[in-house]
Amino acid sequence: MVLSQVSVSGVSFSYARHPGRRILRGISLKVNKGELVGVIGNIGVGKSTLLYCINGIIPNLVKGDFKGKVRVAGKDPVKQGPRKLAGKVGFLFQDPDAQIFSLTVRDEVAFALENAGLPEQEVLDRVAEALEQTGLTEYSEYDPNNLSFGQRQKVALASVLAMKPEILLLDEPTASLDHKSAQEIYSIVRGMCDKGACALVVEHNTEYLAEHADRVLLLQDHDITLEGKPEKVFSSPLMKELGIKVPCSICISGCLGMKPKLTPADFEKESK
Amino acid sequence: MISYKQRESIIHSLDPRFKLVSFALVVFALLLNSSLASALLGLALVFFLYMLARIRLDEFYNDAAGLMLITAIPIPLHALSVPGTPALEVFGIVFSEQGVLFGAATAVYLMVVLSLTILFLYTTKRRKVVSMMVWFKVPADMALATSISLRFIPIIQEQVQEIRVSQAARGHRLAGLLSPIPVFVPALHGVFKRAREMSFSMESRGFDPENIRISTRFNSTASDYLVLLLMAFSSLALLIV
Repeated sequence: MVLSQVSVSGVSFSYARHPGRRILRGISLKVNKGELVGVIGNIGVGKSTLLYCINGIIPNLVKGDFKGKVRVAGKDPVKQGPRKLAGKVGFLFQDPDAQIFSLTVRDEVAFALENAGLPEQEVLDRVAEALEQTGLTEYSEYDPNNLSFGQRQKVALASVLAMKPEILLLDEPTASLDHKSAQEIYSIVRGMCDKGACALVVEHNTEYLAEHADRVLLLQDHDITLEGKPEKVFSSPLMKELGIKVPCSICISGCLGMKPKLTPADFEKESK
Repeated sequence: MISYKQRESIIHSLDPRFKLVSFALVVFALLLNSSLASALLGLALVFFLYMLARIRLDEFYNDAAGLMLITAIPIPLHALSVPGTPALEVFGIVFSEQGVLFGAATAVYLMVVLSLTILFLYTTKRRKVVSMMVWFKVPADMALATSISLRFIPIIQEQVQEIRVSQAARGHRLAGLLSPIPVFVPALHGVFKRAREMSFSMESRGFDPENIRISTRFNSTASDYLVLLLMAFSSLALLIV
């Protein structure tokens, strides 16, 4: 039996500042252990709002009209709130500068662990592990202000990874990152999923999802209109209709009349 | 910008608590002995400390020249208000000799206080400043707010600069009373947006405002005690002069 780590059923939400304007309309989805699920859609369809509902920011910190049921690792985020779910759910925001507030990289990574009241040695060990995972060991005593944007995003990711969450929620983690940094972030997240965690990633760059995602959800008109394997979603005519960028490999394979390919490696495999 | 400067020096390596107390002793001694000679000796001590900390004068000048100008304000104020032997008369206004000397002593005293404060910030990592605040029983939420402010000052400065440049690209000029509005309104919006996202991020990482944890671990060594002793003697000398 496949275990669902995230289960969302019939979730609707409208912000208190815009009553009556539903930003989510009866959304239902499931994310299983080990899965990396991408969420795509145009701006304003409710992608980030969906993530906020999953870790309990909505309705605990952001007020509005919330309906539906959410279960995260068997817990109810509406009742628990994001603070109590911190050990289970890791949330990475788009802008690292809106997350990092400590004066050294080490302190930032240790923040969540200290909040959880872990023993000092365990905090040190976990910080060291998270810094190594993200390649930041040599920067542990640095002031985050002195790091590049990509490195700061990695610091934010390290502070999430240090908690060893079962569920990762990533809100456009690669926005403003160069290709190399973005690939590194996805490799780390993929590695986490391969070890049994699961991730829900809001992403505009479909190339990364083509390469790393197990499944993709397409949001349109504040609801999921298409869902499935990346090759299925990306080769749908709906992508073009909505003006969402189709990954290059899908376009090329389409032009050549081949089955949809997600990465250049898939072409190589077929040619062999 | 006045911020930590990475150097290998004895002043940098001091335990911030000892450093603060040492600097405070000098300030206190000069407060008790308000003579010009004592203030000038204090200034010489500050100069020596800057040399020990390997902070160049041009670095200090770039950061603090504007602040140092403010220290000159007491000279005309005291020269006018303190009665004594007339030293100068301009348009019927008499400046007394004693007033000028007292004003100069106050100005030098202020220079010492400011220079020591800046030296403390130049030679102490921000994290240590916050830890020290908590050690000195400053409430943890205030220390955390200080920590967040210290982190965000450069970011907000950068953001204001970006907005200023982008507004200038649209022909906006910073001239006139209301001209900063197109710069400050988007900057303020950005600050509020960041604050909101930061509160989400902190809650998502289990932050409990009722239970703030800030490390207060310090490693004080024999050199900290030695420097404190030397500074205590120097302060005594400033009192006697």
